[in-house]
Amino acid sequence: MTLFTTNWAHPIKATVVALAVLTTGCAATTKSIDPSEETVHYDANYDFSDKKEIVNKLTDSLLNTTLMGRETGKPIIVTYGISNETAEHINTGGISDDIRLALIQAGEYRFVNRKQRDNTLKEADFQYAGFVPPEQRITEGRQLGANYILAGTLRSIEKNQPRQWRLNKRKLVYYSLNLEMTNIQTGEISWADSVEIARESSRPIIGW
Amino acid sequence: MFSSLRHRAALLCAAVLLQGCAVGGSLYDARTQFYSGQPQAALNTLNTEKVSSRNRLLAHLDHGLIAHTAGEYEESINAFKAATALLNKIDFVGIREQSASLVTNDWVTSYKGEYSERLWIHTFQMMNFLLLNNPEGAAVEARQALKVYTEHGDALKNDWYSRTLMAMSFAAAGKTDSAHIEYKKLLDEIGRDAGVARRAWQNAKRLGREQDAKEFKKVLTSKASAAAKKGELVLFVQTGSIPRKVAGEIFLDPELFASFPVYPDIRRANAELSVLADNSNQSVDVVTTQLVDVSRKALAARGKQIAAKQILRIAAKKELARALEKRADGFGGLITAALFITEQADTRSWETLPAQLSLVQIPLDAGTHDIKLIVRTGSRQYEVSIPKVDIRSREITYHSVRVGSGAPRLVTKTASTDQTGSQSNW
Repeated sequence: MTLFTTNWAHPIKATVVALAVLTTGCAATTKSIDPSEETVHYDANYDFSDKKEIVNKLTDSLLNTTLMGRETGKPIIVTYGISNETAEHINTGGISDDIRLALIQAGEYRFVNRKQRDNTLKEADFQYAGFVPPEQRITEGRQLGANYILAGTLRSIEKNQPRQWRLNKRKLVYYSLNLEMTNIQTGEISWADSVEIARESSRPIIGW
Repeated sequence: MFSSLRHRAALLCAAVLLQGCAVGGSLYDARTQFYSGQPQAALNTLNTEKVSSRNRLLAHLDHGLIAHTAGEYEESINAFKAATALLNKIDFVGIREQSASLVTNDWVTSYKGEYSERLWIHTFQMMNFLLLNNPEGAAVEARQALKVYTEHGDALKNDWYSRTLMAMSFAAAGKTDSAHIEYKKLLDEIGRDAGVARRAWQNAKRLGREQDAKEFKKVLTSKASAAAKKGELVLFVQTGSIPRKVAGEIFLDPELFASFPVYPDIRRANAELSVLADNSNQSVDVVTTQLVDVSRKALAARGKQIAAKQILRIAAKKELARALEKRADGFGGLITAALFITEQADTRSWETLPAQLSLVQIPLDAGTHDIKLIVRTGSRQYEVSIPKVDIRSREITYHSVRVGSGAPRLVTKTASTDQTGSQSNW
């Protein structure tokens, strides 16, 4: 017993200490990441860091376009979303929502809410159905008419390393997001820009 | 006494090792519930009970398919997404599992799915997204299916159903050019109508590819209406259940044999399908795939890999047996016996799959129709009623039906569907 408590070279004790040291790395951990500060990529696929990069670049481009100078007032925009032409289920609504948010906060553009159009009509119908006093009803025919449609396409090209003797499998993924603003009156594409992201990832073929 | 203990230990060891050679527990229960026409009970089992990590892919596959059959398309999408994520995660050679499988069998490894099963994940996902009126999601799955097909095309090229569905998914998402490429590849390979030519021709005309449209029209034998104003009902029909893999065995000498998975060679005629709309016979286009034919080819494509592993295993076991037989206490003989008892082919597979997938395309006038699907399989006949189906001009309405083995009483959420006809293991 004395030997067990005092002799650190005892094999059982040494094993317990070694296990304790080794398993400290096995504990589950959670930490918060600030998406505006950190860029995190676990693999080659699209992630929130990419979304942040895309939103920042396209918002900057839209805020610095000469389009602003040509308009007498703030341009009124309706968004028709970003179509996903990649092989991944990417919620592109998040990209268009963030671009719209950044532009609204910058105060240079005005937006009409297409997604709420049916609901605004329902609400107007409700107000005029006799439930709301006349002085509190909205005035019909005063909705904003958009000058521009903002829409885009997200595409990807993926290449896997050819089959050969190797210890790692490499994958190259290229994403491009094209965004364009179309003048509703003339049909002209008044502004367009794109963001490209290319990334290579590698993962071992053999593991435990 | 000591020797007896050792004998017992050896027998226990063999028993424990053999225990892994079956898909037991919740997976077995869920499959049994599914095949007795209770998909909701099967989903409950899969949602609440644990499945061993090496069979987790099978659990996701069964979950996705059973949820699809029960009309729970969102749940099905999530299960198949989990299957795809798991496949990406376990896509490496695990030294621990492979070493263990060299002295036992492949049942101790994580099931990674045949190439055909990997393709069918996306086939069912395309159906799910189309049924949920999400063509963009279906097109994403079509691109993923195309990746699997590009990698293992030789084994999968006769899956006309999945390939037509890829083209249809592209077309539904407005990618008529991508759809055209897939239709063209398909018709070039089949060389006959096969239920695809009308769609391919209409798509080529829409795209302004006059030359290709002429080529497609040459093989067009469909009697189904191609009038542009019509709407269309597309039925995803799943009939029967896919045969299970069985163990094939080769005896190399009286004490040595190799066991490997094979699909039984049972010839089956295609199920015949016909459709009545408002009690009137309809001309339909049908694209059909017998899944076992594709599975057999996909398994054969892994043949070299399976054979190489088998040779390694036989060599390892023989060497181990030789070393143990030198022991005088008889213990070696028992361990040797245990090594050869554990020689079992890995016959795991996605067993809830149907035997046949059929894409039934029915051009219909806009309006509400009462549909009756009649399926003949040998001497048996099934009738599935799908009442009050809304068809819109120039639009496609999708509906999924499972008939025969694995068919639930209620097939979809949108329309009550009942089946008459004898239930069997067809």
